[in-house]
Amino acid sequence: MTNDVVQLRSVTRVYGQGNVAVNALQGISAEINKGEFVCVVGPSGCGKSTMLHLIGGLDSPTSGTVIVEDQDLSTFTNNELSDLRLRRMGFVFQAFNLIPVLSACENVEFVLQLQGIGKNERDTRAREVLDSVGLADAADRRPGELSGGQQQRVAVARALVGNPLLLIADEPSANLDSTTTRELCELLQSINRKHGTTILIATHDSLVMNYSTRTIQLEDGKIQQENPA
Amino acid sequence: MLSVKVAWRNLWRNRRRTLLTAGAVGFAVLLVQLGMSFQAGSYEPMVEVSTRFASGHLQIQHVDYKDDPRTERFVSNTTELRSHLLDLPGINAVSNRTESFGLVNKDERSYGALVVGVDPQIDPSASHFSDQVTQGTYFDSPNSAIIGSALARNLRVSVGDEIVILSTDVDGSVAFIAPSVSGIFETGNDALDRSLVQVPRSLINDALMLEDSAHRVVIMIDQPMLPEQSSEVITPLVPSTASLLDWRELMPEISQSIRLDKISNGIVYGTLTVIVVLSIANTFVMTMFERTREFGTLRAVGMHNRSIFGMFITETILMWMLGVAIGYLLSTCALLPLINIGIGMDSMGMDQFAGLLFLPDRIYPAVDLKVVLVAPISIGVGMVLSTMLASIRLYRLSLVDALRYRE
Repeated sequence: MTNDVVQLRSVTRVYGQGNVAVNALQGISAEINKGEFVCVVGPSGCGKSTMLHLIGGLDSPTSGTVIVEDQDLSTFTNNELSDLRLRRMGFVFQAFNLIPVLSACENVEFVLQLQGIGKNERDTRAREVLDSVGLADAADRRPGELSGGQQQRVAVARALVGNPLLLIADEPSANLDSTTTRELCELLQSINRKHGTTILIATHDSLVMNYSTRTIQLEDGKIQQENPA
Repeated sequence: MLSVKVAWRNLWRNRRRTLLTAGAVGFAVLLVQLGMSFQAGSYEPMVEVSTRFASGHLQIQHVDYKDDPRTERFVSNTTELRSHLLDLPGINAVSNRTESFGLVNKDERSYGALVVGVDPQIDPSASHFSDQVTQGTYFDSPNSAIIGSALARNLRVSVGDEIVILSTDVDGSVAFIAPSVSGIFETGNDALDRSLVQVPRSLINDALMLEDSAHRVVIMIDQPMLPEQSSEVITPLVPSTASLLDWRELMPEISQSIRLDKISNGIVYGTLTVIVVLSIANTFVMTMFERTREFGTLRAVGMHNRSIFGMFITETILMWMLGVAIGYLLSTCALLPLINIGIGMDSMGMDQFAGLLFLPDRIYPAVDLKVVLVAPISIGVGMVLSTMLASIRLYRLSLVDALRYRE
């Protein structure tokens, strides 16, 4: 048993074949420890999102091993990966990816319903988490009635409501202005500090990097540098 | 329940498309139910009218009479047989009829005709002829006759005139009767009006030396569309030299026209259902593409493929329920007045056709379980299958591609 939440061992990911093959990741190895706030940084196309997808079990490496909580993800079935994401991970996407027909509260509740939690507890916990991200008043509004920043906060609430070990965010500030980005980062930082939730963010926004405890810099699918903050 | 809520709200993401799809389902349900209800409503009257002009619902006759009708092929002791038959459950009338092909003469004119001997007091309970007499009366004496209107015209016979009918008796000798015409009937069926004469059975039986025998023991039952039920109870009473036949065997043209109608309409309804289902399948496939990223998100947050598929099926079932509700509403609005007023065959220009097939003047829609369920169930099954086909993409989709999908 290690303190590592995530271990990547010589991971490669190649998209396509032959002349059109793209080496998104070229044999990277890294560890992410429990309670860290890690930013994966680098220019567009350097492999940041691919790395996050592999860690989240959304994609499989072409070679190498991805280990989450001491378990090799290559041994998991699709349903087991879904269960792992449901119970141990939370995702925040660049485009928020909320369910448009559900209110903010229902979007957050949805994850709890998938976990099999009863209606009353779902509602209580969802509202508590929305309150913690400063959206208590917007709980009954649908995504279309919320600003970009508010939608991203709902996405964060949805990612957090299941008490995940690891929160993965892929370019969460890409659609936000600097003020809202700062608010979001402060929120993530407080979650990291308060609950010890490991946070892994892919970004090329220097503002976001300022909040991390460590950065992993990727370039052309290779780790160029790892810097503690 | 949240997934049902999601499914229901998803339906209304594109209100116009949902209403159009549900409307298509509703309209298909309406069309199929209207068509099937008129079909269901026309068969029993058709059978009822045709059997009352001809065969009856069931008949006991000599085993060889159907294929080769001859005077000597009769059923004996028919009065006793009739009284036993009337004691059986589900039988509401029994009429013994004697038949003979003969030459009908009036002055210089002669025409071949089927001469049917009936008991004037009894036969109206099994036949419509007494109601079809348009001139004169239905038998006014033991030596009277009623004849078809076209035959009367051809013979230039009027009510009160005497006609001479020549035939052969059981021994093959020439027999004749000379009744006076008490009435002229008009059924609307050319074949009957041109070549049928009815006389009292006592008159023709004496002439043909048939005593209490008859060629057809005509039986009317409570459930004409289910003659096999009554056949079971009647069979023990059938003499060994006779056989029991139902209207489907006696009037195969009627049962075949019903079968043909069912098949041809089944093809039309089936085609309509397939068209509606295909258009719905197209909508579902479009929806699958539009919501690709959403499915990626749902899987990313931990939803299993089968749960997403279940959500889709729920949406389909809700759409189906909405469409069927619209269909039932439209059908109810259309059928309620029609059940009371019916549709006149002449208003559709089908009065000649109606006469040919013994259809009544008006047909009324009849609603049974089949009418209520066939269209909704077949469309529902088609919609679920379409959803399953459209969902195949869901299982083939790479999660990363789904999350990156741009409409």
